[in-house]
Amino acid sequence: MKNKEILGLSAIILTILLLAACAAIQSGYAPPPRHPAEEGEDLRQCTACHDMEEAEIPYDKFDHGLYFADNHRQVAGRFGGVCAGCHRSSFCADCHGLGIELKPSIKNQTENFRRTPHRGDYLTRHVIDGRINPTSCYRCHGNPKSSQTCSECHG
Amino acid sequence: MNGDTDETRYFLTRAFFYWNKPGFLSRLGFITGDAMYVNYDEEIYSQGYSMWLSLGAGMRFLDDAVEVKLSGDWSDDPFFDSDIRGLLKIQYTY
Repeated sequence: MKNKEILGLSAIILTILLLAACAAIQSGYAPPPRHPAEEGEDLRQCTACHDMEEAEIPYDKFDHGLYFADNHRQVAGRFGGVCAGCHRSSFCADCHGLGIELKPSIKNQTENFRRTPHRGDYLTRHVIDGRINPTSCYRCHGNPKSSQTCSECHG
Repeated sequence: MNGDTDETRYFLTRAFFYWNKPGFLSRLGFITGDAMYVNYDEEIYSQGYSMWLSLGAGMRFLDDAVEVKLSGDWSDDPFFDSDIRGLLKIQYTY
């Protein structure tokens, strides 16, 4: 009985120490709410100005290169304040908002550099992609049994 | 496709361009083009491939706050034969 109490107490202390260590790792740095307007600078390339060696934020991950649209989910989720420096939330909702009639690939047809996944014949390809990795659909469309976008055809 | 297949079994090729402020048409804001060809490992509705072409152009006004974009698509795939779609979009950024 005493051993169990000691083990329990040790687990609590270790958890507190772990949380304290994690908090210490966080620098507490918060980017300004709006990025200063730099005339003539290309704000899409963060590393053109921000030094990576002493950066509290991985600015290289925010460089808007060819594959940024594919991989922005993780950094946007972790450092949303950096995105907010240039983009309002309505910019995100333009693609990620629910209940929008037109899918992003059609609505932004001329912005082909965004590499939206549903371009072209995705009506055909979704049968294949959905069977191999349905979780990639769930992220935006939710549960297939309750999703309005799925139930329209699949019942 | 078989139920135990663990890889995507189609071959997709895509080529696209986005030409911002084309010199020969200075009044245009941009011209875009997109082409996609997909070859499936098995026929779907008796068709083993799909093609998709898209062309677009746009103009910007009022210090780029207003964008007028026009695009046209053509596709031939297992679901649609020679499908044509056009889209006119007027966007105001405030």
